[in-house]
Amino acid sequence: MSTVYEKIGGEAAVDAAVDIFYRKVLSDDRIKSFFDDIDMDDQVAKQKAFLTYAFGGPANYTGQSMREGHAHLVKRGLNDMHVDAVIELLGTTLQELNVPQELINEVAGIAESVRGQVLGRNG
Amino acid sequence: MRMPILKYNDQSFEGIESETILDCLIRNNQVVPNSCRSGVCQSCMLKTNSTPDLSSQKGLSPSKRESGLFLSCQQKLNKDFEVFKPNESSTMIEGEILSQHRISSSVVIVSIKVETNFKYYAGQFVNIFRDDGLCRSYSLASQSNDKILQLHVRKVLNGEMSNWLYNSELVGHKIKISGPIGECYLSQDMFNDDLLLLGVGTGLAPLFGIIKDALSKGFEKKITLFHGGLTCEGLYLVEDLKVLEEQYSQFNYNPIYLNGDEQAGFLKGNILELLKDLSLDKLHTSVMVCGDPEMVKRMKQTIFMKGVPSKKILSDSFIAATTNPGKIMIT
Repeated sequence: MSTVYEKIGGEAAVDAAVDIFYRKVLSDDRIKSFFDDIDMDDQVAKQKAFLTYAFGGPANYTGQSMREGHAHLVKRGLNDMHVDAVIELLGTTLQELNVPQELINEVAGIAESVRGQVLGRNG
Repeated sequence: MRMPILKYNDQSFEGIESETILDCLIRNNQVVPNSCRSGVCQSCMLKTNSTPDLSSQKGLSPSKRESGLFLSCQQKLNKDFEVFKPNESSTMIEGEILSQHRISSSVVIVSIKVETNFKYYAGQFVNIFRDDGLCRSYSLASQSNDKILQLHVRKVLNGEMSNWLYNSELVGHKIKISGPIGECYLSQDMFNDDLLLLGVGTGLAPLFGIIKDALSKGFEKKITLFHGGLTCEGLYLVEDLKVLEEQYSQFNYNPIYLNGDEQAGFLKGNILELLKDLSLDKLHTSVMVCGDPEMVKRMKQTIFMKGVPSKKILSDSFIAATTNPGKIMIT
């Protein structure tokens, strides 16, 4: 059985999604302040890693790296509302790319699974 | 059959079966940045003169691929390799200062003659070493491979190198040069795109070489240059660029400044606002952005939000010496 990553279109899907997703993030008043002072090249690379992970692709994220990578943002007030916004924008990005809703739900599920680590909670 | 050898920092390491270059370096206690180890985050990027596999250059811009950059986590040590940290250079050459042309109260154009066969692309930068070891990075404003290197040096407050280059009489003086470094240059696949060049201050330097290169190599698409300064007096090479604009119909030059009275032949205003309203063929425009890091960041984002793909936006930030010892750029 193929993975979500394969069904969605693998690396080509990540490439197609990254600019659309990043533009949405930078336009969204709820979360843009966490992103708009970061250099674009670094940010695009990070967004690609995140999308690859959320699509169930070969990104070796660990709970530890998720926690450490977002600790400075949690200090700046990153909370559930912001994670909700990111997952929502991920969904609308994939809708624009005509990805079937059931796959979008699977992607949202993967993104949802790291919420606790991103926000620095236990478990 | 012997195992492949990996050369790095004047050391040689013997590989083990199906190991990547990153694995081999880490196993031998070398410090190499890395994160996802999946060829996505690009933090483990190294440079090589050997030919890397296509798979280890996936996702890199054409100019990065052409300059030999590759992702060390994706490259198996499947043959002998010599690799370098991307912003270091293995070679140092000697140059002689030919002239110092002080074109404004703060900018000097320094011409340096190099003897050796020094290969570079217009738009890359070099490191300049003074006798006492002081080192700073400057963009090359000369055309690709020209044996007379040109640097645009802006005198900065307490800037040791820039004040030395501006104030001292240095014609005939020998200096050491390393490089070239940088991925912001004209690559072959850009010849099908319009070119939008955005420079602030001495961020004009790399773009000036790129423009001359493009025009002399028969670039036929539109080239649009915006050169921004805080004041009208801060802009330079205005006459040269106007002459080029008259000479080549596809070249469009827009000097723009923020503060001061209106001047004929110049735009007055905020370059970011102007870019927001600029009409461009967003899918077929390559963009190069150079100069002050904060302005570079904001100009890149403005262009990206207009719909230009992130891969088509190249940049070179002039980072001040005190803030980033990794890439020292005082102009």
